[in-house]
Parts: sequence; structure tokens; C-alpha cells
Amino acid sequence: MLPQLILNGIIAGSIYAVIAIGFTVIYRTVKFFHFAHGVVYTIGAYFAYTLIISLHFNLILSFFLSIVLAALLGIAIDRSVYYPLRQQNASNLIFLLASFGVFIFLQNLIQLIYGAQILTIRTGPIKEGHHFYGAVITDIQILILVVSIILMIFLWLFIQKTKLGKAMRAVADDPVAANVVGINPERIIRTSFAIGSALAGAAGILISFETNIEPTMGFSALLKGIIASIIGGIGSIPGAVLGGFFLGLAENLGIWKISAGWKDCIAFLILIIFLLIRPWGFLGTKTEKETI
Amino acid sequence: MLLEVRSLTVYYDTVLALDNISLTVSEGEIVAMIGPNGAGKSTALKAICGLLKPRSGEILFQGENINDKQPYQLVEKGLCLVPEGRRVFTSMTVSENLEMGAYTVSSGQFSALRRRNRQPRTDIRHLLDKVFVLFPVLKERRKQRAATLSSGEQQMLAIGRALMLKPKLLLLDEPSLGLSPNYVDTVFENIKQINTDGTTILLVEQNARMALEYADRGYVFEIGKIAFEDKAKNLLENDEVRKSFLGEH
Repeated sequence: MLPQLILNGIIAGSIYAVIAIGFTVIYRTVKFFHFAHGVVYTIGAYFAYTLIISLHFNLILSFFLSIVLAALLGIAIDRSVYYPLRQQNASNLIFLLASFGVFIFLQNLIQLIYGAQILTIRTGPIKEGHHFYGAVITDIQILILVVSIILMIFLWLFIQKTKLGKAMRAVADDPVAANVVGINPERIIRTSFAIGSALAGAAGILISFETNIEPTMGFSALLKGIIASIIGGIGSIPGAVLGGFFLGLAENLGIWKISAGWKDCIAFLILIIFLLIRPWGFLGTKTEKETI
Repeated sequence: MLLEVRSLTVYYDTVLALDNISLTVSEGEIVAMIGPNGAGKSTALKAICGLLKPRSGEILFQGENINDKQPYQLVEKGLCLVPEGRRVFTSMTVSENLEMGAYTVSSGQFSALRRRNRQPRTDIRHLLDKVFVLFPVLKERRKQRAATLSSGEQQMLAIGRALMLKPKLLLLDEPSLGLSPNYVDTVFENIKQINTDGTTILLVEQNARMALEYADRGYVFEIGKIAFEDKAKNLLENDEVRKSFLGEH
């Protein structure tokens, strides 16, 4: 039982981590909670569903195409909603409310198009998983884990090594200073929404290979991503990864002795504990004054 | 004329911060803007570099109106700001900070530096070395995170970052603020050196006496207006300026 729970925890954690790093990339640049991130995750899954089931595209092509579409969706959300608000110097509260609005609007739009029922992307017969140290792991789960880790490594290299990635760190540190050295802030915001949304979309696509999809799936994923970001240290990319895996493991190990229905409860309990005793998370900075 | 500001008026929301001021900076000069807190000198600097939008008036850089330009657009034109409080990128290393100073190089196919210097390619390392000649301490600390530097070293980093592209006009906002006294001297010596190397300088400074000792000309600000303008030497000798602005009796 225990090895299986640990494995489940790692797999869930890898999805949480991918959502959380996407959320963090956007948060670092714009400094508000982009709640619509959750619906981008949902739409990523529905893009994959449309391409694979309705249009019979092949799996790998659908995966990449859906990621690109999710990135474009992120840019479109920023351009159509946040950009006009930025022009008016709106407060963070306004951005927060607007992002909720986008979330609800797009979630209902999915429901309108696809219906509220559960959909499934089943691409082949159900196979028995591989036995691995007393646990069972399926091909799809291996795929989820491997792709998630590749995405994390790619993001890390991008942020650390490329010129655009460094400019994103500069804007995260100090947007005004970045502006005066010649970095166009709008360009960095656009890039952040593209990358962050691509990651949300990727997480949604990966999960759609494993479980059913439904229009409301984004909300709990969003909350897990945010909790992972907060316990990891808001604004820290390694923190978001750490927070994601920690949350996945804690949730799954927590239900070892109690009913599985308590999973979400465990996640929020962890959040509350962190907010009370270590609000800056694992890797965040203590002195930083953060605003939602 | 490198920079010409004509009848500039700036408001913060509804509060008048700068009332119809005009000033000029010629190539090769060091010009100081001094005056008490809230007199508008920092506001003037922020308006020139595009961080604030003026209500009315004109800002001309090399004869071109730059009223509507953002700071990042002015960097390519050769106008760089060292912001108040240094504002280095604290989580990045010293060399990454300097690299960001050269961000606009080859970011598009029409890099400003290439056009200006007519060089086929500009190596970032070459630009870095030039800054390290001026600030050897930055070379020693190039792998350190900027947060670990002393405030004096951070000021050098902020200036070095702005110098990466060898701007035509360097704007400095309170370069001596929060520095220990011996660093204040060093920073002003550096400014003098940068000027000798061919960069025109416009600076805002609380330390009025120090600024005027190094500057060619000065503008004395008082409640949103320019009260005096003259050669720095004359301002230092002007009785009224000495009494009201340099704290002498």
C-alpha cells in the first residue's frame, strides 16, 4: 500500500508542480493572482480532446498543438482583459476580480460548447501497469512523470540561460529598473503569459490522458497549484516544484489511514499551517512584502 | 543642444509637481539639479526619461520630441537613467545585472549600438570589460548576487549597468543617497571620470555643495519652479543660494 501511495503522490505532485510553475511564471511578472490559469488548464484538456477524438490527429501532434493553443489563449486573455486594465493603472484587486471573471466566463463557454458531462480521451485498450517495487505504474503515468520533469527542466534552463529568460527575472526583481535598462515590459508580460499558459495547458493535456475531463476540473487544479506555489514560496520556481511534489505526497500519504474523501481537506490544512507558521514558504524570502 | 526641456509641467494626479520649467543640457556638460525635498528635481528627471508623463511642455533629445517615449525606448537612443535607490536586480549576479544593461544590443536586427558605432557586432564581454576598468570591484564580485553587495558597490553596479551601452546622456537620480561618506567621494570621482570619457551628465542631488563642486552648471529648484540657474561656480558664490540652499549663514 505505502509504495503505491508514494507513487500516486509523485504523479499527482508532478501535475501540481507544472500548474504551479506556470502560475509562478505569470505571478512573478504581473504580481497578481491570475485565477484564470485554472481554466487554461481545462481548455488545454479540451483542445486535446477535440484534436484527438473529434479530428483524429495523432497523439504527439495533438499534444504540441494544444500547448501552442493554450499559450495563445494566455496571450489573448492578457491582451483582451488585463492590458486595458494596465493602461488604466488598475489596482491588484481589480485584476484579481477580472481574472475570476475570465475563469467563470471561459468555464461556462466550455460547458456551452461541449456540454457539462464527463468526456474521456481513451486512445487504446486499458493495459495492466508495470510492477515497480510493490507499486503499479501505467504507461500513461510514466509519460506524465517524464513529460512534467522535462517541462520543469526546460523552464529552468530558459529562465536561467536565455536572454529573454534573464529579462523575465529582471522584471520579476524590479519592473521599473528593467524598463530603464531597455526591457519592454509588455513584451515580457506577453512572454510570461505564453509560457505560463503553455504549462497550464500541458498539465491539462497530461491529466486528460489519465482521467476524465469536465468543464469544472480547473478549479481544484488551480487551488492545488496556488497552494503548491504558496507553500513552496510564492514567486520561486524551484519552490513551486518543491511545493507541488510536497502537496501531492502529503495528500496521498494522508489518506493512508483516513478516507480518500479527505484529500482536499489535507491540502487546505497544509496551506493553513504554512500561512500560520511559515507564510513565506519553503524557498520564499521572509522580508518580502507580497500582495495578492 | 543635447537635451532641451521647454515649459515642462507635471502633475501627480491633481497635485502640481513641476510648474512650467525650462532647462538645457549641452554635450559634454555635467549639469546638477539641486534643491530641497519635494522641489520637483526628481520629478523633472523622471519626466525626461519617460517614467512620468508631462501634462504640457516639450522634451527634446537631440532635437527629437521624446514626450511620449517609454524609458526602454530611450535607452536605444542613448539616454539612460540610474534610478534613485540604485534598484539593481538583487536576485541576479553582478555580471547578469551588467548584461541586462546591454539588453537592447542585438535584440532586434537594427540594434541601436550597431547603428551608432557602425560596428558589425558588439561583444557583450567587450562592453563588460570597459565597465570593469572603471569599477574593478565589480569584476571581483561578478559572480556574486547583487543583493550581497554593499550600498556603495550597488551604486557602482547601477551606474555600470547604465554605462554598458555608453549612453550619450546619463541621468543620475540621487547618486550619493544612503552611501557612506567615503563612497560619496568615490561616486563623484567616478561621475567625473565618466564625463571625461565622453558622456554628458544630468544629475539630481541632495548633497548640493558636492554636486555643484563637480558640475559645470546648476539649476536650483524650489517648490516646482527653478529659482536660480547659473554656472556651478557662481551658484556656490551666490549669497542667496548659499543661505537658502547650501545651509550656510
